[in-house]
Amino acid sequence: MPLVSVLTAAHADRAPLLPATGDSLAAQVLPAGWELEWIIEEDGPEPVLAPVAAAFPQASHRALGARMGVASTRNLALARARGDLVHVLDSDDLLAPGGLATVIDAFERHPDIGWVAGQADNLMPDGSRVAFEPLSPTGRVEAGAVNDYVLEHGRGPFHPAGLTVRTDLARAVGGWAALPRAEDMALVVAVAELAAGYHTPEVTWLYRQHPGQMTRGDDWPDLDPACWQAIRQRIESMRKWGKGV
Amino acid sequence: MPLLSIITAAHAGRADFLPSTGESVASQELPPGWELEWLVQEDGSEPHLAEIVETVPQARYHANGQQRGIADTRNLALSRARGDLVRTLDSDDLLLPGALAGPIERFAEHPELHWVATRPKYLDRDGTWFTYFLLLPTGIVRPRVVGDYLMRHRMCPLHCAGLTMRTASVRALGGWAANPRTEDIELLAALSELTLGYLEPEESWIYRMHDGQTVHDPAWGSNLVGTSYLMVHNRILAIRERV
Repeated sequence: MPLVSVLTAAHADRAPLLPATGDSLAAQVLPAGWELEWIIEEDGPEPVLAPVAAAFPQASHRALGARMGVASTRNLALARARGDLVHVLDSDDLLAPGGLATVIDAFERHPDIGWVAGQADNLMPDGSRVAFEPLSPTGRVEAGAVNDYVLEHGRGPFHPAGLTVRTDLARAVGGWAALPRAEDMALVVAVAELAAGYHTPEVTWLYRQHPGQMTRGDDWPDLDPACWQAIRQRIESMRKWGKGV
Repeated sequence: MPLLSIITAAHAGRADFLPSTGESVASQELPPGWELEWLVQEDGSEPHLAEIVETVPQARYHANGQQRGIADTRNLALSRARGDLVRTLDSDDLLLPGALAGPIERFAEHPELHWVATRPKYLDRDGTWFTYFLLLPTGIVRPRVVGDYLMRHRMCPLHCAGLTMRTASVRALGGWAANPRTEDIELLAALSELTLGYLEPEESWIYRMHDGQTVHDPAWGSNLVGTSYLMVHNRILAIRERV
């Protein structure tokens, strides 16, 4: 039975938001024959999310007992994923109705692709959804095209938070990168250099706008340039070498 | 002019060790035409190693300004590297004379190499020396040899703290991994699956044992060690699946 593993790195502050994330997952209707598991990896020394996770039969919660940061936490979730596909879902975001079915359908229609990037609506504090235009054309994306965009524009052609990747491809490139910022784009550029993908025109996830978002922290921009430098260097090095898994 | 970039991740707790580490860098003799830069990246929200580092002419210092851990810190140093080769040097260790020349010569003799490993000389807390056991034959290390050993023994057959690697190859693999306990072993595992390496018989650095070592922290030896090796194992298998 094919399985998709939904990976959620969470921490104690997300306790009020995580039930809605779980509800959005429980409401997913998957293509015939598919199943899902929800891997919740809790970062931080004082875990509190086990009771939240227990309300969802597909959830498997593990507390790390120490502060590891989001990249290591996601990689620890990746280490115990049993699915053929891994879908990342942030602990404050929601899946859109039908989101996972759209993603799985893309993999079934394009058997050679390695990844699928989803589209998001912003989810506003009052519960309303606000659509925004995709940053780049949707549909099939050939290997290397994402990185042409990154090198030209200095940012990604889609938001990396709604990504689904073949599990072995994610593991081969080392998963999320050890960078203080943009650790997810550093993963995207590696898989998108090695494999074609698909950028869905359909909305697959909802991006919750709230004051506790990590990108809103005061110190957020400081290390950004160095991390984007590392991402450009990864692309250029992969192209020079012709390898990179 | 070819350049070698030494990468040292440091933190405030290493202020007593770092001057001698810096002296061991400054006194290195390189093959003709080679230069080095010493990239010191300080982790932590209250940096204070700048003055120590700046006494070394080849040093280029930068502070994270926040606590990030060793893999992020090494990767931030890697983003500043200008050399074709990077060499790791821990902030509490010392390079022995000729430590850099040996690996540089090996790369020149064997242009197909992507990494060269060397041996440490262990200095115990009571001042006694002991030898680091080699678990692989010295010389050329073919792809998969390190990975086979890692998967069979759940132990790295080389010491990762004295590696010299092609900068571009490290970058292509994403640098040190976001892996809580074996970030450097995972990098070597990926690199050694895909490329040829070399294991030098000579000792090239002094591994100083002391009470402040991260590995002596009781929290270090938690169940995260097992999961960290599982991540290495998964990566090796995934690379073999795809290559």
